[in-house]
Amino acid sequence: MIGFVDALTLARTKLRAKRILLIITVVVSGLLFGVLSTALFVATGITRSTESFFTKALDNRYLVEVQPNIPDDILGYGDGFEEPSKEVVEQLNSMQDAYIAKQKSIYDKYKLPFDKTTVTPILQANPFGGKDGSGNPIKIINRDSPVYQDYLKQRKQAYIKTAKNTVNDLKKIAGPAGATDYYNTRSISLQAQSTYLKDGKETFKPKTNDMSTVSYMDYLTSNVKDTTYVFTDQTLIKRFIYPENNIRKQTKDAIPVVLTTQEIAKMFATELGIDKRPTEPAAQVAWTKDLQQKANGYVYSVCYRSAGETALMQKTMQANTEIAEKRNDKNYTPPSLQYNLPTTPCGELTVKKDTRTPAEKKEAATQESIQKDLGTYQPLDRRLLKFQIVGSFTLADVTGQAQNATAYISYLLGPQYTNGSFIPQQLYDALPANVQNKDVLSQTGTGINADYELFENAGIKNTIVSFPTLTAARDFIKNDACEIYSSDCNKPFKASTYGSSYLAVDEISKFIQSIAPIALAIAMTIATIVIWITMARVIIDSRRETAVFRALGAKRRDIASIYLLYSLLVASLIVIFMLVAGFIAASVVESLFSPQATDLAKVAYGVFDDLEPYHFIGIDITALGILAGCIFGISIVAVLPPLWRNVRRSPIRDMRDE
Amino acid sequence: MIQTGGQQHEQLSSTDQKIQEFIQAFGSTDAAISAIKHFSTKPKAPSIYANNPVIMQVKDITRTYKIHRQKVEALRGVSLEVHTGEFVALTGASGSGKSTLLQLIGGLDQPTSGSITINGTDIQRLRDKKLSEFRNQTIGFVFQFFYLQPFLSLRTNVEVPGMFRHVPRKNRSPRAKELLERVGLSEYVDRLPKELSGGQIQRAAIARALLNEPKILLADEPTGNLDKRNSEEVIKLFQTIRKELGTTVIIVTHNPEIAAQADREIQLSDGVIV
Ligand SMILES: Nc1ncnc2c1ncn2[C@@H]1O[C@H](COP(=O)(O)OP(=O)(O)OP(=O)(O)O)[C@@H](O)[C@H]1O
Ligand SMILES: [Mg+2]
Repeated sequence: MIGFVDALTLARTKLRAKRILLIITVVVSGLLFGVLSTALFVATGITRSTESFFTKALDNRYLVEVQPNIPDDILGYGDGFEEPSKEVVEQLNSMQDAYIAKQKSIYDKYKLPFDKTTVTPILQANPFGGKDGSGNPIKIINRDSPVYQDYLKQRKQAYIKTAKNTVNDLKKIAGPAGATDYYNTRSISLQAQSTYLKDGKETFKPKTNDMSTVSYMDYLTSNVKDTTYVFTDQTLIKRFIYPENNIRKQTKDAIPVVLTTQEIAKMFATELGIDKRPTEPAAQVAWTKDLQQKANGYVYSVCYRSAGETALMQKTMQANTEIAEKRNDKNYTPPSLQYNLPTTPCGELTVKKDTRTPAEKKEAATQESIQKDLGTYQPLDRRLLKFQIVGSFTLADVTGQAQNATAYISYLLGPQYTNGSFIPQQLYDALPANVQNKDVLSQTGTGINADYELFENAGIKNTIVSFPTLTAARDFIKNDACEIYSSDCNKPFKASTYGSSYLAVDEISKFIQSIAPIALAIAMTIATIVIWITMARVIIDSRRETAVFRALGAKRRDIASIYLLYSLLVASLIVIFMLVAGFIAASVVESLFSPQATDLAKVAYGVFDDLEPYHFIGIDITALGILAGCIFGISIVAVLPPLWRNVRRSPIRDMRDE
Repeated sequence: MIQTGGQQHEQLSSTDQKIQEFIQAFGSTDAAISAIKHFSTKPKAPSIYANNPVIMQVKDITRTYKIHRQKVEALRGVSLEVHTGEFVALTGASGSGKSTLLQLIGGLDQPTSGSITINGTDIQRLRDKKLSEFRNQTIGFVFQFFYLQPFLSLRTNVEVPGMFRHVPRKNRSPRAKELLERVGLSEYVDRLPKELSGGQIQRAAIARALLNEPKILLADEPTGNLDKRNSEEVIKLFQTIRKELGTTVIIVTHNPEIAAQADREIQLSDGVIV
């Protein structure tokens, strides 16, 4: 049997035969696999950089937002247009009767006639029609009825008694999954009742609540105006909080807030002297630093007015316009009670003119008493709230992710929250009570947030869970909980990544894993054919040489090993070509995007300069090895058929043709 | 080979009209030639090698090729014995079966019937592995068209049979050099074949055939592609090898002068020895 080195010596001489064909083979196969290896280099680079970025940016904690999975019907989402069951109808009717009886007793107390028909009915005909078996219109629940709210509350209370999704239940599941810490968050929204005091002045405009033209990004950056904040444990937003400066040391009367740089620029550009946000990542780093410097400690104020006062204010504005319009109308009688709009920011409304008769005054007083008894009285109240910017972050623009590479990277790396503002809990807790304004800042919204306290007191609340590793976080999300938006969840909790898309790396690798086999199969098929053609050609062309070798004493196995080695040499050339081409292409990508991406990464979680460059090139030895292995594999496969045919030939036949 | 034959025929026809008539008198070319041989060649004095032991015994072999359902009987019962150290010339017209016989002897092909015993072994019994070893170690092949590896140095070319025998490089490389020196190519040891003349290349090919010290050298028209001077040198080389190494030499040739230098000329005609 021929030795390896000798076989190599003889195989090497074949590289000189069929040069053009060989070059085509190497280039075509090398390019095919070069594309794959480029993708591999780049994907490895992105994966590694993203992982190491998150390790640093997230301080080695991977946060998961966990929501208790409360069935829709408990929250009242399900009571839309479907017909309620008989039992429910009975229950609602008896509650409605009790409600009417209570109303009547109050009216009786004031010796006023009570008209039953003025009470909002609990059931109403389905506005979309439909008849029941006996020809009567189908009745559905009237969700505007106060009785329905009571009914919902009762349902929630019943649910809470048996619920299996309290924080304690969560700990039993997340603890074994590796969770280390649990944090509360709570969002507040004073949207309808607050006015941002630009330059400290209050302007009076009728409140509109038109959400239709508002983009998602607008929505996320209108927290100052709407007084929408999320109370969040300070440790979770540590990266965002600026170092304390003198202004902050001296300010004693403001609530600390963390806002997005986007909103700071939108709201306070003139006040702070901030330029328009540049699009170039490098310029964004400088811009962000500048913004952080200027925004640190900035105080703005907002006027909160109670629902009653807000209503009165709207009414006053309307009346004032009407009075002005009909000044010369002889038939117009102006209202007997008129108010002045406040003259100081967030000041009281004062009475302008009160020409009411004593009877009118008495009637008004009675109405107020009745409302108080019914619990629907809305007092007049206002509060001047001061907020101080103590930190910022740049929200990833989720809308721009598909536009270009830069947008995608900033989406990938940037903070992702479903809100754009925070109140750091510990800083807030340290404030004096009169600054905290707890009574105002505890108002919550709708949905799970309505009756929030009911759930919270039972331990059923949104919780941020911290995991020490990405894997632990991922496994918890995937195995122990449902997706946040899943509609058919049968687990006690829903979960998603919190604050960043650190699992996007998973998405990337999942995507690659899904297309890699196809791409590999295509490349392998084409390359196999190309290599096979070449091998067959070279072997046929070498028949005489083979015959000579046989005459000189080569065994079939010797011939086979020479050609196998030859095909492996060709494979090596392809592998080299693939690696060089792949590396060059990946280097181009690296040089095009790495500096930008590094800057984007710096901006993402506040500027931090101790960040490793973000690379688009990374070497995954195992995966490259597999690629190379595939090339060697197909080369052997491609050489076998022509080789098989060749060694079976009688040696002398090929020596005759000359 | 066929071309060479044709040229000869042309030469013949252009020599003398009388010879043509002479041939006609015998009825056929073959008959005329054998008649001439019979009368003109005086039998050689039996060579000293005739007393050596028989190294090769060919018994009644036939070889039939099948091409396009047509049978070609290349050999039709050939028997012969060759003694160790003999220098035998195989002659005969083109297509008479010389190459076929040589290939059978060399273990490159199997006879349709009959047996070939070389050095005491019936080579038909050998399987690929043993047969390859037999070709590698007992036989040395020299070809008309040399067949050196164009991209290997002369030394490496000469080493090739050693590679197939798994002879370590440190042993075979000096030997290759020595053989090249012996055939007068000491200056060309590390050159490529393309830098050499035909005669030099053929001498290198002979060196290659000798690497494994074969018992028998088989050469199919080794001078067919060489000019007269080079042909003479190559034949001289065979003589020397035979003398110094005791190698049995069998060459196929069309050249009567070369055939005359052999101890024995075996003539084939239409697949039989005449
Ligand atoms: N592999 C083969 N397949 C078919 N026919 C063959 C084969 N080899 C030889 N022949 C035929 O066998 C006969 C003898 O051929 P061979 O090559 O032995 O003649 P030769 O005496 O060497 O001729 P030349 O002087 O032209 O070389 C010829 O008719 C040839 O066509
Ligand atoms: Mg021949």
